[in-house]
Amino acid sequence: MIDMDNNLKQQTLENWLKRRITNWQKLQSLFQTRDKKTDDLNQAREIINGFRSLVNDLSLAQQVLPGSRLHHRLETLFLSGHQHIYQSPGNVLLNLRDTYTTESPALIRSMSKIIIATITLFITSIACGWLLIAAFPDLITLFVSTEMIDRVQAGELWTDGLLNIIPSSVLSLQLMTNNITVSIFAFAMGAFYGLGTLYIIILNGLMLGGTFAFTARYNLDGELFKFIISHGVIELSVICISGAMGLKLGESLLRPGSKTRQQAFQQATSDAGKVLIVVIPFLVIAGLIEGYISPDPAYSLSFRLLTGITTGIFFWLFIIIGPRIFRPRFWLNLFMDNEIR
Amino acid sequence: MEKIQDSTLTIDSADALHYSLDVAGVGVRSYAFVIDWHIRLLFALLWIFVAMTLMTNLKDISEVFSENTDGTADALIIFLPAAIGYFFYHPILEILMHGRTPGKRIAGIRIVTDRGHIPGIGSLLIRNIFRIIDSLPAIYTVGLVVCIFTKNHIRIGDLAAGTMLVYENKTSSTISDIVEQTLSTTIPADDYELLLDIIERWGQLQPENRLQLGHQFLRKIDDDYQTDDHHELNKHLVKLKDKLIDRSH
Repeated sequence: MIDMDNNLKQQTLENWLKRRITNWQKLQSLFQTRDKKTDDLNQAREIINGFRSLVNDLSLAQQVLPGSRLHHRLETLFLSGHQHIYQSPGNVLLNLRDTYTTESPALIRSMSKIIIATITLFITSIACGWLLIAAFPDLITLFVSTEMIDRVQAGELWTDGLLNIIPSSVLSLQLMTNNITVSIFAFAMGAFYGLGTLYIIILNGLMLGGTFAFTARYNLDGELFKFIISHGVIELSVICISGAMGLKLGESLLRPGSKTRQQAFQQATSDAGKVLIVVIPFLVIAGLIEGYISPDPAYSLSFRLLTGITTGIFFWLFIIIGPRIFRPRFWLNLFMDNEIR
Repeated sequence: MEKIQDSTLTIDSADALHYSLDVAGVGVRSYAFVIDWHIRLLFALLWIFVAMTLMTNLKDISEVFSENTDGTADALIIFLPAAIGYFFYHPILEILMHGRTPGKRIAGIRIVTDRGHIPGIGSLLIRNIFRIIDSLPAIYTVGLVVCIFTKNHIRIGDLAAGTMLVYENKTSSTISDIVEQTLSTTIPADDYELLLDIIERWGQLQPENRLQLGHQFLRKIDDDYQTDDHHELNKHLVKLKDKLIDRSH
């Protein structure tokens, strides 16, 4: 009796497997097609129906042969089908274009408060650094190397003659790498409840202010300003924005709102990622200016001022409004609107 | 690779069916990382060595390192690709290999989203940016500690990107092979898995251990099997194996 039962079971299993195997093989090849943008309706139907029958098969296998190789194999097949059907196709270039044109500018506008707060914090730190070193000049050893101090005391900036030591190309590359690392750090350190970001922003502000106060004692602050102004606007703006993203990250952990902490954290990183991917490439421009224009004594102060201000204005317009600023129609509409009013 | 099962990720799908993936723990993650680290270090050193031998006589290496401007271009060619390869190994390969790297492949794990899908480029980039934090202050201490205490054994980067590492479902056999094999036996499914495991690992096991395992296995599936004789054991196992191979070809 038991034998017959077993025989029957084996027979049923055999029939089932033999009937389904061609189906599974076909589904496998269908799920593996990477190109999802087919407008072949029949194929789409085939995939959906096939997937449905696969779900039945899998639950059957789960009951009849739990833990077997067949069960695992069908599970793998199910997973690739699930991914094929439920994951959005996602075109990388299109997504990137969306990020640049709409998502990132909208995010930056919505985060204007925290960005302004970060910039204010940075400027306050600069002022504090200035006051600190003006009052206690000896503390400058905290911020800059003794080598730099020696050169300033000898009456020259450490940037003088920089191009005699390092060619512009290498200098640019070094500065780009350094600045990109700093801004990514300023962002990522926000994961420590924003404290890491606060530290980086405040420290950089103190250093900048302190260095200015120190150079002012030797009448070199004008020279330092001349060196910084052409690249500094973009560079410091990017670092402030990265810092703001870091603070946002910290805020998401401290005040997750209606989401769980993990969800809030993920949302904050994903938003910040979209902003950073637009903002950080500007450090390449800043690096090029800092390598080719800033250390070159041939450029006058007015030229440097002009470079700094135009690149700064362009940068902020681009990140707040988006690439629309390149279209004449955008400006035309803007002014026409004003006239009508 | 032996699966040391830490936990499982169970995902409920809209099809009233849940599927599960085995979450990879700290150990296997570290194992994969160490393999990857060796690969990228070797690549970087190899590049530096080859580039140096090609560009300069070995005698003049000191010139490349000197602050002399003539050397900077050479130094760039020698060190830049090595640095890029070393520092961008993970993001580049994870994107190109759909959530895997050579090390992860060898360790038998891959990156998935919390729905079990292959993560997108954005997630992979985010998870790699946070390596900066995870590797603080040295040798991935933060990452390791976070990994130990989080539910799915993930570091901060995975937390941020919504990804995790799971074991690869490693069945290299095709569906038709598996169906044939399933049809060819009357042994219950889990015993059958055990038999395949024993056969697969026969060569790697210590002779005494494998004999003991073999006897135990045969006793389990066959009540009549009582002997301790090694020749008998071999005969039996080979018979079982032959039967499988017969049917599957």
